[in-house]
Amino acid sequence: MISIVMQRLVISAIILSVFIGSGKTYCFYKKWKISTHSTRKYLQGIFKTGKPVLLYFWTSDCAQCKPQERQIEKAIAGLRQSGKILEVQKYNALEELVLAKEMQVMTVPTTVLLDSQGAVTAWNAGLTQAQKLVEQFEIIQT
Amino acid sequence: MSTTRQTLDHSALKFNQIAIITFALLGFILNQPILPAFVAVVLLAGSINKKFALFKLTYAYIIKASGFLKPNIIEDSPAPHEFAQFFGGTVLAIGSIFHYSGLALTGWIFAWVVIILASANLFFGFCAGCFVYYQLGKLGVPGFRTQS
Repeated sequence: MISIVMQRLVISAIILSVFIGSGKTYCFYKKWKISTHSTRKYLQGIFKTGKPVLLYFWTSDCAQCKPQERQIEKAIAGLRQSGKILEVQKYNALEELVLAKEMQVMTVPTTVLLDSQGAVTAWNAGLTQAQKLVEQFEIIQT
Repeated sequence: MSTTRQTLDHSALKFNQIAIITFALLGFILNQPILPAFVAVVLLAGSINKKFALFKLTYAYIIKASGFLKPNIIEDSPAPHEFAQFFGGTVLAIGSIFHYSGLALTGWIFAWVVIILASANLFFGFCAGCFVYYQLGKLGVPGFRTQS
């Protein structure tokens, strides 16, 4: 009985470790792929601001997109208080399919932060809180 | 633009996910299929009526009250989370049916699907329901593609 429990414990630990490890690797890979792919060249034609930009992908029937917009508004307001400006560009992920593909959008809401050079510095799938967006923005400011 | 702003305690959602993973995992480790079956009942009952959402009640009356977890209330739509709860409960219930029909391995595979999806949400904030919804919309599946 104990050996069976131990076996199952080890199997569980292996499955969870592999899953968490591959999940983290996948997130890292996504970010790397966006940064090194043809994206930067592609983006240069679109984003000419020379300032950090937050790309926000949404769809009309996405339940978490309204809350995401308010989190973005909260982040913008918070940053504005300290004299910083976060530019946001909003894209319908079902209409802007080419850009969504370039940005590896697999779910909505997705937010992607680009630095002033157009390089991806953060990629968030799912509802992302204002605090996290502010922290990600602060990193590229330093 | 007048929209109702709904808030959710994300600590309650996290506790719910931890409880699902813990019970389903313990069921597998101890070879006790009653535990995933219990989780299925809790999730499905909670989907029907919030008064029966045992894990969320445990959070509200014990965990939060004792200060073990601090509330993290943010604006969010409950719809995807309720869908996820119903989906998780259904998958575990199907797994339990397989289990008690003598197909133990299939039953445990279903339990692991729920463990993995709950872990994806807990560790990576990945919403499987949202992912499926968007991908079906992209493929143009009727009912999943709406005009803005």
